[in-house]
Amino acid sequence: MRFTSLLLALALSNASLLAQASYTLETVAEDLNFPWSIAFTPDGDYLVAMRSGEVRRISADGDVSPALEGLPASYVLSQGGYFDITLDPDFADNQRIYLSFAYGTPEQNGTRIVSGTLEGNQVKNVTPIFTVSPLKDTAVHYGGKMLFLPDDTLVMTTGDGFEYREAAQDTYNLMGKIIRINSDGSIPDDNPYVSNGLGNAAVWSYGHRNPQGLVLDETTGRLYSHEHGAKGGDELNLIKPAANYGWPAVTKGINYSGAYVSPLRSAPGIEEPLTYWDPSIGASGLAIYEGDAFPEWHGKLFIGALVDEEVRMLTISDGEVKDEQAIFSEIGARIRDVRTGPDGMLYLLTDSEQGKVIRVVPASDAPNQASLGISMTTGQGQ
Amino acid sequence: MIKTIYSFAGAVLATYVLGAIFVSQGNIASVVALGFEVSGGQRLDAALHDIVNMTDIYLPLVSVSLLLGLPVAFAVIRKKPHLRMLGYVLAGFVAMIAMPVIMKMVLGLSGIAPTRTHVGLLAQGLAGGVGGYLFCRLSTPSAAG
Repeated sequence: MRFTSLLLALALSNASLLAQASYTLETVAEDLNFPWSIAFTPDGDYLVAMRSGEVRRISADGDVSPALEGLPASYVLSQGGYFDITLDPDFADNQRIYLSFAYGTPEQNGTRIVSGTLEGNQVKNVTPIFTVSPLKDTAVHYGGKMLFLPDDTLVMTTGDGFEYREAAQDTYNLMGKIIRINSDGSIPDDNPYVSNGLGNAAVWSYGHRNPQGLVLDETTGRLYSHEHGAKGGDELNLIKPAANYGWPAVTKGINYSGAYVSPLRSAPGIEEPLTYWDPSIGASGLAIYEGDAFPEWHGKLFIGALVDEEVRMLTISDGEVKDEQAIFSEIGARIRDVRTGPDGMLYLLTDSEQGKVIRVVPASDAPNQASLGISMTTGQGQ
Repeated sequence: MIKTIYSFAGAVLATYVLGAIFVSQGNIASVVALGFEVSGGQRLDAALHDIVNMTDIYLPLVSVSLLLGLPVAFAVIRKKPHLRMLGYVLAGFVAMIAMPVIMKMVLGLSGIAPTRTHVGLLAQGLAGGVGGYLFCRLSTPSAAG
């Protein structure tokens, strides 16, 4: 196993800067073709879905398998490809995995979820369980982040397809939404539009642009999502059923042309973001640190930043963002995903043709933990 | 030559301002169609905002569009002088419609949101037509005398 380590000792004397921690960045695997998401198997392996349209199993030692067999071909173009991979809550018993990806053709494509059974390097009985409709003819804004809620329902973000932004306000249209389904693709009875006829039964929340961060706070039960805004409109939102998050009628962002998307920055009945970024950071991947390795980080939100090539660490208290810090900028790469692993470490995916899985572990070099300022060393592990 | 330059500058400016206003009101029309209220003050504010803030991308696009379109008209008009006004108006109209259409073909996306609709596209053409008209008027040779 080859580790490249960056040792960073942060001993910040300013007491107002929270979350001091000394950490080491370990490269678990590299030369991955646009890794998009990571899942952790009970036996300590990692499953990494790559936008290039393949999933690879990476052992705890960093050995990268060939692409898993049995998964469907994806529409790989621009932002299209494989997106998120997640395990069934009963994975230990049923070995089921779920993959979201860009499905279809240039003329007719959309975000689809398939599930299958993982057996070694093969995925068997692969079945589509959900496809965003209507299909579209653009290769961007797919959303695609998934997670299981405590009741074993699956939520997924969907994008507006860029050209179809008004669809985000149409509750019958599945673009620009967060949807909620059962693990077999059926619709939970308690979804907000199941019985009232006011929208598609799969819709959980609407008015989203391109959400690519989704996390559940297991302590409070709160569901957070962030989304790519237009120019200067990336948002972090607290997700509530049937809530409208405004896009494109209410937004802090503007068109790339410089024109307003809308003159409305707030409106009655529209959920306000917990925070937003202007200029945009390119928010991608979202985690709440729940491990024990970094007590200083417990409960904090970590958000990957594609544009700023760093991670943003947010402190949320009483439903408000109290503090935000940039972290891991020394990696110098677009951060596609951030996760807390079952080992209590933080994991980062970098976004490039030579993408990496990076594990953040506590610095073992005690003297560096006490040093002031930033002390960085690089070295080769075994 | 100087007359041609300031005539072109005037045409670009008129097309840009009118086109930006059409973009602004086109975007607002989409918002209103979604059931949201936009006041007259907000419309005016948006128009001013967009005129001021679309200079980075839209203004160069307008300039290039007319820079390509108006000389084509000039070449035709040299052979058909009686079509001078129609030629420049048509050139501005076509240039400003071609610009978003070509962008969509190349990028696969609409860089100017209102041009996703026929009305929005025609509005850009109208802005270009006004620019062409202004160019025709400003560049008209002075009467000998």
